[in-house]
Amino acid sequence: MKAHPVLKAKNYKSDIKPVWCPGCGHYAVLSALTKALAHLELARENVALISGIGCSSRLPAYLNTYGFHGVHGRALPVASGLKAARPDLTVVAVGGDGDGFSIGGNHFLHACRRNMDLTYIVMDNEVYGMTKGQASPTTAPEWTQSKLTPHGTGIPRFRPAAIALAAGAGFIARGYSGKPADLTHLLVEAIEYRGFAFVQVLSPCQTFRPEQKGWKEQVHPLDPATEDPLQTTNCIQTDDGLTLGVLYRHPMSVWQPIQQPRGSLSRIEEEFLR
Amino acid sequence: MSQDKSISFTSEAEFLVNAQALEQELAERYQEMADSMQVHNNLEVAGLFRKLGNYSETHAGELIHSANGLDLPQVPPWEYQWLTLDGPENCMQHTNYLMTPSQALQLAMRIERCAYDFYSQTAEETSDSNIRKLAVDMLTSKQKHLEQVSEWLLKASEQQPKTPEDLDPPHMPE
Amino acid sequence: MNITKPMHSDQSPNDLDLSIAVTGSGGSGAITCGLILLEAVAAEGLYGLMSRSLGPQIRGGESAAMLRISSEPVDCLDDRFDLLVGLDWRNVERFADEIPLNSHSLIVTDSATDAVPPCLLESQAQVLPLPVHELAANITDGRSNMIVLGIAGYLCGLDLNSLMESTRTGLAKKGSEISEAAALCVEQGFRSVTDRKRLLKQDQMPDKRPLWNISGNEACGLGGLRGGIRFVAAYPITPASDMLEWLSPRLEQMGGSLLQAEDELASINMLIGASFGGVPAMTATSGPGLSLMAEGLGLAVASETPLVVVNVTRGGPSTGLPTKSEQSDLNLALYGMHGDAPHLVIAPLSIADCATSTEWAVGLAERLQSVAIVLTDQFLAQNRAITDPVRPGSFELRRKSAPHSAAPYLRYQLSADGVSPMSTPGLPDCIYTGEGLEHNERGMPSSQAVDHLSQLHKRQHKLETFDYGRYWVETQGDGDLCLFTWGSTAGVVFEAAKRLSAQQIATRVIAIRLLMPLQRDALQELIKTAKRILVVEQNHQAQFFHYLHAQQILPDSAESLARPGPIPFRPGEIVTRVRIWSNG
Repeated sequence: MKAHPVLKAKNYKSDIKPVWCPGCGHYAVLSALTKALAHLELARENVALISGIGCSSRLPAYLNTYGFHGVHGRALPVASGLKAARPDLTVVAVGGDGDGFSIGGNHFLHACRRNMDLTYIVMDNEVYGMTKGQASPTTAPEWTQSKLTPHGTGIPRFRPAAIALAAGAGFIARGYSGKPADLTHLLVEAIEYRGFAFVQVLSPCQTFRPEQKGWKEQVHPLDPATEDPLQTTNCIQTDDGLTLGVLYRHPMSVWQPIQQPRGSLSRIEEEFLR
Repeated sequence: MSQDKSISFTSEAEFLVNAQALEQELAERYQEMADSMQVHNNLEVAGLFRKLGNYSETHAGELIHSANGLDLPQVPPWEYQWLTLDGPENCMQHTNYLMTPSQALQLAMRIERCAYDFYSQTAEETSDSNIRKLAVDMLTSKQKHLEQVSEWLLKASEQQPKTPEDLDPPHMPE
Repeated sequence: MNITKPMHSDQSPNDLDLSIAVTGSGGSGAITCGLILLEAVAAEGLYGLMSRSLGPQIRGGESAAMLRISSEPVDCLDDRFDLLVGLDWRNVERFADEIPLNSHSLIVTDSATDAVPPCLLESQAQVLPLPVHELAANITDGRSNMIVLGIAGYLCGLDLNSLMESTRTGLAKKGSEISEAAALCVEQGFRSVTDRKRLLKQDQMPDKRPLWNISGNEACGLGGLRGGIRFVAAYPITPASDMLEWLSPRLEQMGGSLLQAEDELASINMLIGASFGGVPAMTATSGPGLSLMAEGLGLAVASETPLVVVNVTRGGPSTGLPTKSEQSDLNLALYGMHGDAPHLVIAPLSIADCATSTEWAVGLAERLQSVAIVLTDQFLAQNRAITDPVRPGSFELRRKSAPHSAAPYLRYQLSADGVSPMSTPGLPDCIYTGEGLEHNERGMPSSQAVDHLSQLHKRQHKLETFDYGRYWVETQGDGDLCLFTWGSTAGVVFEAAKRLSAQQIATRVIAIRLLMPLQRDALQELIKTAKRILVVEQNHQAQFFHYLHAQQILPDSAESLARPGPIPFRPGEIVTRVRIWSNG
C-alpha cells in the first residue's frame, strides 16, 4: 500500500472562486481533477492546465498548477506545443463542446492522430453557455431553445467518441459530472495512459439546459464491461451517447521529440562554408 | 443509507481514512457552494454554507488529529465506502443561484444524513470493536449536528420569503 | 567575336561584375546548372547572388536561373544580363521581362534547335549559336545543362578545375557515373569555346577566401538557432517551406523539435505553448498564413509570451503570386492584430542579414516578452548569396526570469521597464496561469478600467523605452538627396547610391530594420537636413510611405517610388529617378 499522499485534493485548488453558476456540472470536474492529481501525487509545478474560451475553459485559473487560458478553440495546439517543448510536464487540456468540436474541431482530429502524451477533457453540455445558450455541435438537431436557431439546427450531432476513434485516438472515455467518483477514476486512467487520452464529460448546464438533470437517470455503464476493441468500437459507433466508462483503450506509439543535442552550431555553420 | 453494498473495514486506520475523506468532502463542498453563492451575490445562503463548511472543517481536523501516529493506507478516491449517488460529493448539482435558505438547509440535511447513515451502518456491520467505538462517536456528534441543522431549517421555513426572481436576462461575459 | 564588358553610365562601379541567366524547359536542368555555377563562383573567391524564376508546374515546367557574380558583395540583381544561355526557348516569354538584355548582351543558343524568339532579339543582343545538344549526345549520360555550364563557366572566366570539382560535389548524390559524365560535359563545353574572348579574365580574379553559400531562408533559420530557438511549429507554405525543411534536422541536432501543424491557427498556438514552457519558439509563414495567425499573435501579445514569426512575403492578396517577391505584407505585419497590440516588426536588409536580424528578433522577443515579426520576402528568402561568413551578433538578450522569493508571484507585475519577471513551469514558487483575457498584475481576469489601462501601458512602454542600440538602422552617405527604404529593397538602393556617388551625386540612404516600434526621434534627426526624400518599396499601395507619414516622420515634399512585384527593382531604375531630381 502506498503511503498517504502529502498533498490533498484541496491543495491543488487555487484561491480564485469559480464564476460558474451554482449547480453547474463543471464544479464536479474541477473537484475530480484535483482528486486525480492528488491521487497521482503529481507536483503542482509540473502540471499545466491549458484551455481555450468558454465556461469550462475558465478551469485552469481555479487550480494551483501552471495554466494557460488561451483563445477560443486552440487549447490543443497550445497544449501540444508545450508538451513537445517540455515532455517532462503533465499537460492536460480542458474545454467545452463548442471550443473543442466546433471552432477547435480540426485541432481535435489532429491531436487524436498525433498521439502526444496529453489528456483532453471536454466538458460537454451541448450548449454555448458563455454567449448565452446557442446550439453547439453536440446539440440535438431538434433543440429549439436558441434564438439563433429557432427551428433547431437540423444538423445531426457531432459524435465526439466516434470521431476520436476514427481520427486514431488510443484512449476514449466518457464520464458524467453527476458521478464524480467514477469521473475521478477515469481522469486518473486518462492521465496515466501514455498517449492522447480523450475524456468526454457530460456536464449539465443549469442555466440553458435544465433538462439535462435528466441525464442522471439516463446514463449507463458500458455493458458488458469489456475492453475488447471490437465490442467497444461497436459501442462507440452505435450507443446513445450516454454510455459511461473507458470506451476504448489501445496502446499506441507516442509522438516524442528528440531532446538530446547531437550537434553544435559551429558544425551547422560549416555547412555554408566554401 | 440508499446504497445496497455492505460496508466493511479491515482496520481502524482504513475506517479513519474513509471518515476523514468524508468530513473533508463535506467541508470542501460546503465551502465551494458558499464561494459560488458569494460570487453570485446570494449572501444569505453563502453565509449558511460557510457556517456548515467551517463546522465540517473543524470536524475533519479532529479526525486527522485522532489518526495521528497511525499508518494510514491510501484509498483511491473512487473507492470510499461512503460514496453514493446523492452524497456530499454530488451536492453542488442541486444548487442554484436563487436558492432560498430553506432549500439550502434541506440540501444540507440530505448530505449530513448520508454521513450519518455511513457511520451508523459501519457501527452496525463491523465486528471490530475499535472501529465500532469510533463509528459510534462519529454518529453521536453527527446526530447533534443534524438536530442543529434541522432546527435552523424549521426556523428558515417559518420565515420563508417569496420565491426569488431574476429580472435580467443571462449575461454574456466572453 | 570580340566581347567586352559594356560601358554605360549606370554601370556597376564594382571592378568585376557579371550577370548570367540560364533558361530551359521540361526539366532541362537550368537551375542545377545555376546552382553549380554559383558554387564555382564561391570557389574562385567571388561574391555572387542567384535568383530563380519558375513556372507554375511542379515538374517539367520552364525555369530560369539568374546569377550575378562580382568582386564586391552583391545584394541585388543588375540592370542588364551580360549573358543569356538558353537550353531551349519554350515559354521563355514568361520570363523575358525578368531577363533584361541590351545590345551588349550575348545570347548563347543551340545551333540545331529552335531559333531565339523575337522578344529576346528585340534587345539587339548578339547571338552565339553553339552545338550544345550535339556535344551532350556524344557523351554517355551526357546532359546539355552541363555542356552549358562549361560554356558559361569559361565565358565568365572561371577555372575549369573548380567548375569540374563543383560539378562532382554538386551531383555526388546521383552517383559517380552521373557526376563523372557531368564533369566531362563541363569540360567539353568549356573547351568548345576556348577560342572566344572571356567576359572576365582569369587575372582579374581575386584571392581565394572563405565564403558562405547561403539562402535567406537558411540564414533566418541559422539566426533563429543562434538566438536560442529550440521549438518550431509550422504549416507548409511557399516561399517559407524551405526554411522549415532546413530547420527540421538541425533543430534536432541542437536538441530542439519541430511540429508540423494542421494549420497556421495551430502552429502559432503551438509556439505559445512551447514558449510558455520556457523554450524559445519560432515559425515561418507567408501572407495567407500570417493572416490566419493574427488571432494567436494577439494572444501572445496579451499574455506576453515571447515568439518569433518569420513572414516570407509573396505577391498578394490571397494566393496571389506564391513564387514571386513583394513587400506588400507590411500593413498586415504592422496593423494585422485586433485591439491595441504593440509588437516588434523587423526587416532584414540582405540575405546575410537574415541571420543577424532573426537572431536579434529572437533576443528582442525574449527580452521584451513580445511578438517579433521578421519580415522578409521571396527575393531574400529563396535567393542564394555567396557572402562573407556571417558572424553571430552579440546581443545578450535574455528572458527576465522569475525570482525565488517569499512574496506572492505577480506574473504581470507593473515594473519600471514594463517587463514583468516570467516564470516557467517546474518552478514551485511562481505558479501562474497565462491569460488572454485582460488581467490584473496577478493574472486574474479583470475588466476594470484601471487594469486594462495599466497593462496596455505596460505592454507598450516596454517596447517604446527599450534601448535598441544602433542595429535598428543602416545609413550610408550624408547627401541632400535622401533615399529611404526597408527590407530587401535596401540592397538595390545601396547599390544605386554607390553608382550615383560615382557620378558625383551625393545621397543619404536610410534603410530601417526595426519597423516597429519606429525610432521616430532618431529618424527625424537623420532626415533633418535632407532636401529631397524618396521612399522606395516594392508594393502597389506605398505602404511604407504611408506608414512614415502616419508616424509624422516625412515632410510633405517626400516622394514615393513604389511598385509591386514580381520584377525586382534594379539599381538603374532608382539612379534614373534620382538623376531626374539632380538635373531638375
